[in-house]
Amino acid sequence: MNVNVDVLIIGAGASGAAIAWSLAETRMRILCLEQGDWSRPNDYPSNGRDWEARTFDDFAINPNRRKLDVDYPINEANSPISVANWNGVGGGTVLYAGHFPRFHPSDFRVKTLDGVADDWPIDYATLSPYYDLNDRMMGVSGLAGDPAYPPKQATMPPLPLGKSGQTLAKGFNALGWHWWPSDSAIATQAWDGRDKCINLGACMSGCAQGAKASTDITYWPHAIRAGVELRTRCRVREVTVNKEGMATGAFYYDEDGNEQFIGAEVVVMACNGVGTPRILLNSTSTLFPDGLANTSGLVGKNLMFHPYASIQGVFDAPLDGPRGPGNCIWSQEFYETDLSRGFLRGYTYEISRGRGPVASTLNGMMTGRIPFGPGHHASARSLIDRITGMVAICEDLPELTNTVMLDEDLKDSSGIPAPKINYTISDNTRKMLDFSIARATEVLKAAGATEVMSHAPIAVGGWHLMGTARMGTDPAKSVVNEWGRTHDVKNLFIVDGSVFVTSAGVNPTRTIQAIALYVADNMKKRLANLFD
Amino acid sequence: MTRDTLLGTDSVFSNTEKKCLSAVAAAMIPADREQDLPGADDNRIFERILDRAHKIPAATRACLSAIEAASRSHNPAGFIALAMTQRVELLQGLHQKSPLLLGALVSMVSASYYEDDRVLASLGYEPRPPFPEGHQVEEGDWSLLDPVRSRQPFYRKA
Repeated sequence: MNVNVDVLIIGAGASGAAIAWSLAETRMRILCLEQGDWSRPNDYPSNGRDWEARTFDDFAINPNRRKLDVDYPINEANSPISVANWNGVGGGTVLYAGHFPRFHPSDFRVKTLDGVADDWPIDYATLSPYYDLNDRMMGVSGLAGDPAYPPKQATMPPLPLGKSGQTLAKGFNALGWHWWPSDSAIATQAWDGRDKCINLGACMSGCAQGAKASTDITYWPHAIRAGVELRTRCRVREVTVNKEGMATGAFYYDEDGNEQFIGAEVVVMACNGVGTPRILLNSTSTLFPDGLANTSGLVGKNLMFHPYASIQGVFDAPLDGPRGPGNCIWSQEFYETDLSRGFLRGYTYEISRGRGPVASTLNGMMTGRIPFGPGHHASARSLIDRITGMVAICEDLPELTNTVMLDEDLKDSSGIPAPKINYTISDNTRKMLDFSIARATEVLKAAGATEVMSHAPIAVGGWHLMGTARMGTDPAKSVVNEWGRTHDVKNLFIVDGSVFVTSAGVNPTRTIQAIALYVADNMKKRLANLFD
Repeated sequence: MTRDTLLGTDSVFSNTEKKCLSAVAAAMIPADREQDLPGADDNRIFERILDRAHKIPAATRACLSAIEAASRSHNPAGFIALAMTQRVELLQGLHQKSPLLLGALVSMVSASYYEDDRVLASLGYEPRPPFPEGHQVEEGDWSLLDPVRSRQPFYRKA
């Protein structure tokens, strides 16, 4: 068989971009296949008057609602939380808010410290230099000195507090609870050819300013200049293996829908915690009848979302509304385990600055908070620009019964089986969600809220997709080893959130990218005996 | 553009359906003369509602059918034959019973209304998209952070 490329990377999102850029210095022939396309900042909703409404339409975070031609359907009937993704160059970073926390040292030692789940085979110290490198590539605004973390530097000053941040800070201070300006992948100064944030407020439907760090405008320009080839609208169906158990490449459908094959010496999966197991499970062979690299039976299992609670307060005085990034301050007062709370592990509060008029009224009318008829105007105006609050990101423990499998009937437009999600919220998480709502209510009332609205889980909040090809040293209990190579297939690597052993109580992207850079470095150091 | 023109333009909806849709919009968000606010049946706003409805004709029709069916138990002539207070009460009742039933209509009415220049101006918003001008957000009083700065590190070492 003719080998076409040295390294095939599948997926051009957060991790695919990072590993592509890092491996480029080897001068190997590197190709990335991405099923979606490049985003055009001129197309982002914030260019138009209907910017809010489009977040429920062509820029909806759930692909089943969005239904773009590059999306694939997902069977979520057995999950109280829907998957959020973006199929295109940049992946989820195109639509994420840009919250950019690191893991804590304790997040890598859950079994040792709290007696549940497992420990990671790596630790915070191992990833620390890769966090630093990724921070320079992405550009991170924040403030050094957070007592919730080991010392770390921010590359740029934090986002402004605004009216909303100050209001909530006073609430936290009244209770003596921790808060700190959020680390955000949003430039507050010019950074790497990108201009600073101008407070569009539409971060989660693509940043037209280019201040929010999505990998299409951070890593990819550098990687492409260094010689990496990125082919868009190329949807991978399966990764192939030879009789020696080595990956040989991938079948994919090109932009015209024609089946193609690309041979590769090394294959890297970077398709997120749903997309990666989907392709692996669809890559069956005589050697791997249950899916590629799945001798352990763990591909697609231990799916972790971060179940979110939303707690919003209504205030008399006008606040920021939709002006400015949703990111502002966070609190990790309840992050580290404290058994007196009634659950293990913990969560982060991340402030959501405010909402626009359409979101405020749509939400109010749908929940009945804003009546139809003559009472509409007074009620709506009591909410518009007067809501701020927070979400609680709760650590999700791995459970074998939370899975991504292949649907027996549902297929995408290329005929590839769709993923099927089976997911249940655990008792531990339920208790954590309830606790987070109760404490946040205290903060909001201390801050002066006249009314508090809450719900959990956020049904559309499946932003973080983790655990479905976990990392570990024991091939019977993990899919990849401690430097991201699959136990079963010596030239197959996984670098996205699938490899997470535990989820922590923070957004995963910064850690996903640090892991991708760490795996890349290990590959480069071991090039001479990479397949041993 | 007059209402008749609006109602007479090429549309997948019949005139009867458009009249019903307009009446529903007005019941959900009526005009407020004291505050000089249009209702959602205002010509310019309704034009936007119709644009949105044209993209989801099946869902729109399903909502209107449910409304008409419920209305006929009060008046055989349907929704537009009801008094305004009855219309509001009927819609509110349907919505409380099954919030998703009227979801498509609520979504298009609220979005179209709160994108209108006059409505936005009444709320203190400039009638423009966020980009490219952006917004000003005050930096804030960073001395609020002083109590937290004085805390000792509380992350668990591992």
